Amino acid sequence: MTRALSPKLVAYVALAGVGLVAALALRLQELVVLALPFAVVPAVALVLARRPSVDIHLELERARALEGDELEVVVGIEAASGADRLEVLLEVPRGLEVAGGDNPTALHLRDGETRDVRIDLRCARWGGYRVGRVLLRARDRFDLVAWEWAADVRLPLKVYPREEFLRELLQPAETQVFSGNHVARQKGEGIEFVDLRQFAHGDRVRRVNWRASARRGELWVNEQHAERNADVILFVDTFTEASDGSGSTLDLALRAAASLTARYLQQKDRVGFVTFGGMMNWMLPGTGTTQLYRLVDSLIDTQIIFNYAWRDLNVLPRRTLPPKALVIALTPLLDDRAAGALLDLRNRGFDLILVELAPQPYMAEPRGAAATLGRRIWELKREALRGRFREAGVPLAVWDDERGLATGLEEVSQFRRRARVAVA
Amino acid sequence: MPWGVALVGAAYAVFLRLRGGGVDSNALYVSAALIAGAEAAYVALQARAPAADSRTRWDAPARVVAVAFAALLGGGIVLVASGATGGGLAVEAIGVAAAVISVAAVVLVGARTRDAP
Repeated sequence: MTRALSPKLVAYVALAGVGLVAALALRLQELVVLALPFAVVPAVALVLARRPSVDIHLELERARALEGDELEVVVGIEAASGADRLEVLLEVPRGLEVAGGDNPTALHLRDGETRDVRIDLRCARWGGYRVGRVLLRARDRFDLVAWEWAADVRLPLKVYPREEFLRELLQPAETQVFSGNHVARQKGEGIEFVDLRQFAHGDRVRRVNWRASARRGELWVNEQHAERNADVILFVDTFTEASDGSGSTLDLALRAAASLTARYLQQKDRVGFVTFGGMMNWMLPGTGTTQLYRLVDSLIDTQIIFNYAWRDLNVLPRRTLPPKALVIALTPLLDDRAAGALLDLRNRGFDLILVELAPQPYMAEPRGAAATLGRRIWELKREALRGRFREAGVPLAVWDDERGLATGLEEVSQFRRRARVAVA
Repeated sequence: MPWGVALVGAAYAVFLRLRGGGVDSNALYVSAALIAGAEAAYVALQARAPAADSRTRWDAPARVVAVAFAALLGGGIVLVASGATGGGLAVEAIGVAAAVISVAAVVLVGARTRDAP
């Protein structure tokens, strides 16, 4: 706790001194009357001023919230020794906003009094926050002395990205061995009819196709596609991002990743992720609700870290990218290193889908002929890069202002239905 | 702000010198107005957080009024005391001592109540 004397105290003492000296010099008793209050007020203030003793505790309405949610924070103040005027400011981390209540606020506290300051916070951006650094300033009765200190009673708050609407998910080219909701290419137990074959010893009677058997005079049975699960890897490019005050391509990436994670895990698929950028982060594929929380908790710690190092896929552990996995890459296609790694991934035979997070909405419009020309060249280079991915058989969805994520994924589904991805 | 108060005080001193005669009984009103003006000016200048309760909200205006009343009372006592005494070297010495002691007391109290950071 630090104590500070206000400039007002210095001014009052100076005025009192000047007034009294002038009274003596000019032999004017009236100036003593004028100077007297300016001497008495600081003296009384300093005699009465006392150091406050205040305990602070914090309550968060909940520790987890979704982007856009509002939650109440209660700053509890318990005064062993009160203050004439206590100013309370809750330090709000970037990404959260004050939606209701006064911050800062001022209150009078008697000895032993307990008060609650209620502040509504809006979770403007996903992320992991620690809320609860409270800055306090107690003033004396005359605003001449102030005590300032900070109380660190921070509590963790996790703000998850809001989910995007997805009509249907992308089907993987290959499935895994465990049961799930995807119709596999292999024959096995399932619902989808694939073929007929002659009855063999051990076949169940309920699989006999009686109509075909009656026509052929011998027993024939139905064969079905097996229903299997899939491994889905979300590959988030964190080399760079395009951002303005309202959002960034990383926001889009995290929103898409959280939505896809939740939806794929709902249908019993194994989901993992890789953040490929200045700092690498990954999580091995897994399934279930625990994996959902683990993944989303890891995703919200994702950030862009600038790095010159050229990275390739060899830095990733082998199990991070399991064979036959569906890899969904979320990238703004702004960094050649990420593009190179994705093409490498495709060349290694992975079933790769590219979701391009359009950076244009976060960029300023070009001004002048040179800037416009530069933008056009840049757009052409991006189109050429998209062409390289298409040549490699990678379907590409663009998520921008005009097209939502669901529309982009639907385009990819159409592309995959018409032109099957060649699996190496 | 202090310069404004000092200028008003100086103007009043000039007025008193030019006027001559006995002690001006209006000094206590000028004194109350000056300290009330100074308090009000500091309240207006200071960045203040919104008040959470009515007591905090009315604290500053009440202080301005209270200080003005206290100045009226204190000024009145000083004027009555100055009128009762006849003046002379002894009174001047007491005045000098009171002025020095007042300023010294303020400085001493300020130093004594300073807390360790």
